[in-house]
Amino acid sequence: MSEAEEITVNVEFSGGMERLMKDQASSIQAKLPEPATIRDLIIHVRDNVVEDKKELFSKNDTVCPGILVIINGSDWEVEDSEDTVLSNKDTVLFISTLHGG
Amino acid sequence: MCDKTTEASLETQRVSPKATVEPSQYERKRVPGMCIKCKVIKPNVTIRRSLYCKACFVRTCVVKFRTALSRSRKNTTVPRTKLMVALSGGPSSSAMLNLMADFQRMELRGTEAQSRYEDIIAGHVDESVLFPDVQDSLISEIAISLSIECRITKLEDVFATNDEAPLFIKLVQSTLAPGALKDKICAHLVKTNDSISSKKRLQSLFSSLASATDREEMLDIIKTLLLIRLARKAECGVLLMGDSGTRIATKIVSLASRGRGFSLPFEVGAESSWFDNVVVYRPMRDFIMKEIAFFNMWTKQNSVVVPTFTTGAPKRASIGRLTESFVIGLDHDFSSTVSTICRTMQKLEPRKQALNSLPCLTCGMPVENDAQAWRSRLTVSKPLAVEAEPTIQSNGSNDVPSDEDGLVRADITDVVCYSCQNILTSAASGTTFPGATVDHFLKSKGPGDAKVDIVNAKQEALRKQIETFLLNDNE
Repeated sequence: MSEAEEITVNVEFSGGMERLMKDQASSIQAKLPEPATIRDLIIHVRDNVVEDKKELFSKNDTVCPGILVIINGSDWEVEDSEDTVLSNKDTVLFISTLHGG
Repeated sequence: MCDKTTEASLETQRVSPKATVEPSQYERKRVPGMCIKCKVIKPNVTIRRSLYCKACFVRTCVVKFRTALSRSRKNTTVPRTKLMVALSGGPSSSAMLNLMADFQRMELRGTEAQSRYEDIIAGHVDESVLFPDVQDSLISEIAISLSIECRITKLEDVFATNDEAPLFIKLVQSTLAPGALKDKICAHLVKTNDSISSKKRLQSLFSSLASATDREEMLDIIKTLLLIRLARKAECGVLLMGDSGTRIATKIVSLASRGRGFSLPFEVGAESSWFDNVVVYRPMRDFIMKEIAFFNMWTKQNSVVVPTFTTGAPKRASIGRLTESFVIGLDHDFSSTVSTICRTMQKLEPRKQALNSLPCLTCGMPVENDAQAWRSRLTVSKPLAVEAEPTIQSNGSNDVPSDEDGLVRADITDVVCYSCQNILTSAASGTTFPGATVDHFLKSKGPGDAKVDIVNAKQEALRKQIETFLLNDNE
């Protein structure tokens, strides 16, 4: 594998998640070195996209309880949760279910 | 293999369930790696360790909602009436409106071509006075997109001057001390002063409350109050509240810890007939927030983010926020935490005493007698400035008119529930609170007494007074 290979992942935030992000962005594109897992993406988002209050997004290199992760329209728990390997042009959606209803 | 039917071999069979062992019913039902329902499509979501594909999941949600609604209907006797869906615009209430619209469509398509509900109306409380960021146009659009009429009431309407809310509680003084003899909350029951707009009144109410917990509780109280009024006005006999299982579990813990255990069955129960003329159902109680999020995503149901006082705040910002993160954290590790809490709660029944209690002046929920006795058992105490004021006496006959507006101070301690007492005590004096049942009290004092501005809070005293009135009328 050459070190230059990168994948681009579409990342979307909803359910109030967007309020934690820089410029309250509801979607961004993340470039990650291949091979990348969801855990790598979470760390990338936490370090580069979350404005402050990083503790509301991520804890122990995974998302906080109450945040759903949806990869290409499917629950990440159907795959391998944090260890799911991402492919180029995957769409990952983070939804906060806190304070809903 | 069959010759050795010893206990040991049975034991080994149990430990290693291979082809020789008949799979249990549980195992037979599942095809590994496939949807639990159709068993042929790859799953898209896992709910409490069960795998579902998209189509089966949506269908399951629809059925689950219908079952919950029918069960609530069976448990209460309500004639054919209109139904109001409380719509905050958040994911749960939006999903509920969608499911209810679907229910109504199905009913109308049925053989009888007549639904159990005359009409479906969405009821929304506009909170823009406190949270200006919310786009209320988006919320009415949710109803419009489902071809449902949306009635909106503003949060400040709780202070509006109309026939339904003629009087408010203006706090004069409150002293609550553990074990003290003079636990008193004294207030004027006032008609609105027109010089202050209801918007300002509401804002000053919230700014005078002591903590985020109090503010959240007050907001909940006012919203419930307004929704009940809205439902009555629209002649809806049934009101659907969109509390999800996750929300109910959180509420159970936070209500209990705030001292609302007495009225808890009415506030989170599957169905509640506590309010006059309106029955409240909670048909989303069997859904966890994850299910709602996936349902909304796959049915393309729009929803908005409904902020609260502690959105984005640290965990310890309020009791509500803390219990939410506690319950959700537990549920993350043990996926049936939410349903366990909810099912335990379903076994709770209101005490007979609660059913016959007087409603709290502030929140309208039942008042437990002797809330003071409870308090006197508390050990936490702080010294209070207890300078006895001669005008504040527990006995109504000692009430002395204050100089302001010729109103009389009334001791309302015994007609305010434990939890509301806590709110009132920590609020600044002079704060005006909306009264859920002030009018109710005055009416119970008899007709022709509309100008009475005094409510003597001692329940027994009040009952005696009513008796006196009745006797006088007969004579």
